[in-house]
Amino acid sequence: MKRTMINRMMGAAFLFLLVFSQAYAQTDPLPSWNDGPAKKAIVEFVKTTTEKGSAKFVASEARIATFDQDGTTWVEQPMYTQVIYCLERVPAVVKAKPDLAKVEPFKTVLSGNREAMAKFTMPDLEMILAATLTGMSVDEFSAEAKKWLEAARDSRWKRPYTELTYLPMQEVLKYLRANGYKTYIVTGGGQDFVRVYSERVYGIPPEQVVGSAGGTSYRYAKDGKPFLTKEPKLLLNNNNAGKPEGIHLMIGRRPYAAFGNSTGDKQMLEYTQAGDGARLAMLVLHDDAKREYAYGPAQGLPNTKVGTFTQALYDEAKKKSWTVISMKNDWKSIFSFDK
Amino acid sequence: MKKHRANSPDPLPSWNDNAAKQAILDFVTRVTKKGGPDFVPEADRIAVFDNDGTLWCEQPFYFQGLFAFDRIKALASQHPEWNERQPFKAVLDNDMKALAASGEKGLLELVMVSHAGNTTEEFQAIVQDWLDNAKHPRFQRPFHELVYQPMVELLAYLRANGFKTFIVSGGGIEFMRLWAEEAYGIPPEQVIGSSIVTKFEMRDGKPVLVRLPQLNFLDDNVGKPVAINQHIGRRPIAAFGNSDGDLQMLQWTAAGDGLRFCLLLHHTDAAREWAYDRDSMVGRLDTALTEARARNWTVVDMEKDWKRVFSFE
Repeated sequence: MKRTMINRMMGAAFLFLLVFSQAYAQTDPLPSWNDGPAKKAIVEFVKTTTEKGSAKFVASEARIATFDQDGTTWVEQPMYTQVIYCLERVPAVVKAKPDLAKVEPFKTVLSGNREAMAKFTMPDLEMILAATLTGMSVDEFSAEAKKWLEAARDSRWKRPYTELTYLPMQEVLKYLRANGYKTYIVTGGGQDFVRVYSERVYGIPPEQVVGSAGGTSYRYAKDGKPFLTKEPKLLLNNNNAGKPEGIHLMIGRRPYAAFGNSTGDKQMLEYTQAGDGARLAMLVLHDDAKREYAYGPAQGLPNTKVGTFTQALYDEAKKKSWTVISMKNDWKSIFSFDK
Repeated sequence: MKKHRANSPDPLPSWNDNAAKQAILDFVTRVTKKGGPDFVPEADRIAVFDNDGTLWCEQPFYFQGLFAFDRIKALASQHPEWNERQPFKAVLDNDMKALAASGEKGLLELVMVSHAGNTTEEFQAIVQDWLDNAKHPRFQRPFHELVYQPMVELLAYLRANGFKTFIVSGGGIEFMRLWAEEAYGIPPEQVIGSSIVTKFEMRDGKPVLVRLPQLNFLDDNVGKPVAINQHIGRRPIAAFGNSDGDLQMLQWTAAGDGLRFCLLLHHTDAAREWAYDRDSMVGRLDTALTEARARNWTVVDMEKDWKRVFSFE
């Protein structure tokens, strides 16, 4: 009799533990992160800024978190996705303007010679960007980019580019939002391009995407209907020092958390950290050639022109107590499809 | 037209029960009615508001202009040469005629001198100090109290119905962001305006943004749809303005698919506020008024449609 009671109690306790541990497992907001300093830094930052009574509590309207995109929330190798889009748009542009076929850099793009394309200078790339990203209405551009994103596949994973987002960062975005943070993309890439998919892919609405932006001009069609044409004139170069400048213009508040992965994000992190109270500054280090890519040249990793993470940036991060995320050690899984 | 239900509290108590109020209620009812032909998902419910003359007073002169004049006067002791030089002399002498004669170029120079050359944080402190101390010449109240109560109600009503409300103003973005959240419930990131160039710099190892005397963007006329596209990236479904500077914003809003709402506030109330339109130097309403009539946009008659203008009345 007594024994049965104890058994029952044991059973109840066991059941409670089971339920509790399951509930606990369900509430881990960052299941794709290994337990380590990076995950700990994120969780502690959220707690210290959102728990009532915390000395470093941040009012919900001031909770702003900014994320670089290329190399921080999705893959940027072997080349920025938007540049691939531009290169693949070249044939259509040349079809409309056949004279371009004889002119560099368009000639090289049409030849398909990837080695030659890898040697393009900035002026070469700017010509390609201007030809493929401007001259059309904003609605036409969105429709073209959307169509391309549905059809194009990455060369390594053979998947749509929009599937190549990092699951651990998606979890951070959701975790921050669940705690009252407003999440922004702050990218050196084209704002209009990212806005085509940001809401669907990251849960970030267009008005929370800050990126490099060209000017548009307001004109009227023959029927009097107004339209905006994308012009080859830069409104905002949202890279390096341009990131805090862009944040100030477009958001008007200093972020409490900022995430990046390259020298282009240095000033955004500096600006974020310079505010009062608790601040979170994180850099993704791509040190995982097996599951993704390995590049730096920080920490002896191979050098790259795409998403350069210098040793100087690494040293600054250590000195300023920014958290460097080791893709290899901190991330349990990288993509939602490799779970 | 569906009447507002009598048993629920009136969301627009400072509006008289005229056509303008009814048009607003009708529009909101239709775009929020699930399954209805005009339903708009919440994410797309973007409403844009001009500021000067639409949400707050703009007479006898744009308030930010008055701030600039006060700033010039405060800085004058460091610049004895201003006593002889236009447009500064005009400001120091309160000579509006000479000021007008200096034209857009003169005004731009005044804006640059009064708004640039400091860090963003220093500038915010200067504006805050002005807001705390300066008084409107007619109403003898702080300028940020001269917001239109019916419009504050309208903003709250739209937000209660899932709208995201934005300011899209020719005024300075940083100037407005300081007080727009408290006055209108519109956070800084939803304030769009004209801007000067800011430059990231390290000062004593601390990053600052320095305001340069260089125009970055003029958010007026054709600039408004351009800025809406840059900052919001979606076309609004409702737009509110009061002058010719808002015309393109209203056209851009109206040109989208589905139900759209465009409204102009007509200042017809000299007793409680001001009466001005086609010939006014400040907030001229001419071609936009003609177009609004032709296209059946809602035109608010301040005198007849508003029960009260300011909350302190």
